[in-house]
Amino acid sequence: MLLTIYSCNDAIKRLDDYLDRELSSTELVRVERHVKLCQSCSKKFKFEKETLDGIRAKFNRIILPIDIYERIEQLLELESGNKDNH
Amino acid sequence: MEMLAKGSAETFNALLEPVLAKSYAMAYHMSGNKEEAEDLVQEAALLAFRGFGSFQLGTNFKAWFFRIVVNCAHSLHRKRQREPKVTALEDAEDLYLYTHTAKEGLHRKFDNPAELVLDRMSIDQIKQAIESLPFDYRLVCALYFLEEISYQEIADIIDIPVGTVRSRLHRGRKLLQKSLWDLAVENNIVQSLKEESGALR
Ligand SMILES: [Zn+2]
Repeated sequence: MLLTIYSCNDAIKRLDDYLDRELSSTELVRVERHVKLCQSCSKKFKFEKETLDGIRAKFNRIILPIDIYERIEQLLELESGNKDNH
Repeated sequence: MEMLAKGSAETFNALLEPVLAKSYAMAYHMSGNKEEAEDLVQEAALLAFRGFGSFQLGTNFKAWFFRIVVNCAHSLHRKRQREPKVTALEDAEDLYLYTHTAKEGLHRKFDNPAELVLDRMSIDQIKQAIESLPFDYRLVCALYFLEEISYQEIADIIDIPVGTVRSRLHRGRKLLQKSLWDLAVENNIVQSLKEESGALR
């Protein structure tokens, strides 16, 4: 059973789950076996991973406004003050 | 209502500070604008502070706080409702950037042209691409790309079934790739890469 060989289609269908580490262990073994043997899929898998990493890097490039932490602290102080007065 | 002890306000601040930057980035991607992101994070911080009594110390504060940010984003979204409904959402094919960069002949000269395309896109263009996604997809994608977390964790934060996370994520990132590609074409990024690859020939 474990020696089932995936077609390119079978492998590509599982690309997203593979990259997200959401495949079952059996599927994982089969996908990895296919990718090892198939240059075209290996290239696609690598490409997709790098692309997602690139998007990830872009998503993370949002900078927190410097004063927001102070604003929140003030907000919370005000909130605590309100409570103390009751 | 029980009053917060001074100690717990300090605890709260200590827990909040390290997750603030990610929370803001998430709010930014969900709302698509700086001012709203700031408001969202502040509102979430206030709600979290008020509800801090229900947080169990030692459990995942980040996930707990993210849930609150997501809830705030949801209610803001419901208030606005300016977006079209998701009925006629078109699909994008698998490996969208791979296929299209290949079609343009960019694989001959560049190892990964998609990375180059992304490198040349501004934060604003990335924001536009994310905004083109329907709200529910944006939520899942924002969490996915900002945090390396499992489908299950995303499901717990947004409070939807794990299968829904999976399908929205798979579809969402294809749509995102398509939208990034369209923007790269519109902004002549693809054209200049093509010229550069020709010049290198
Ligand atoms: Zn193959």
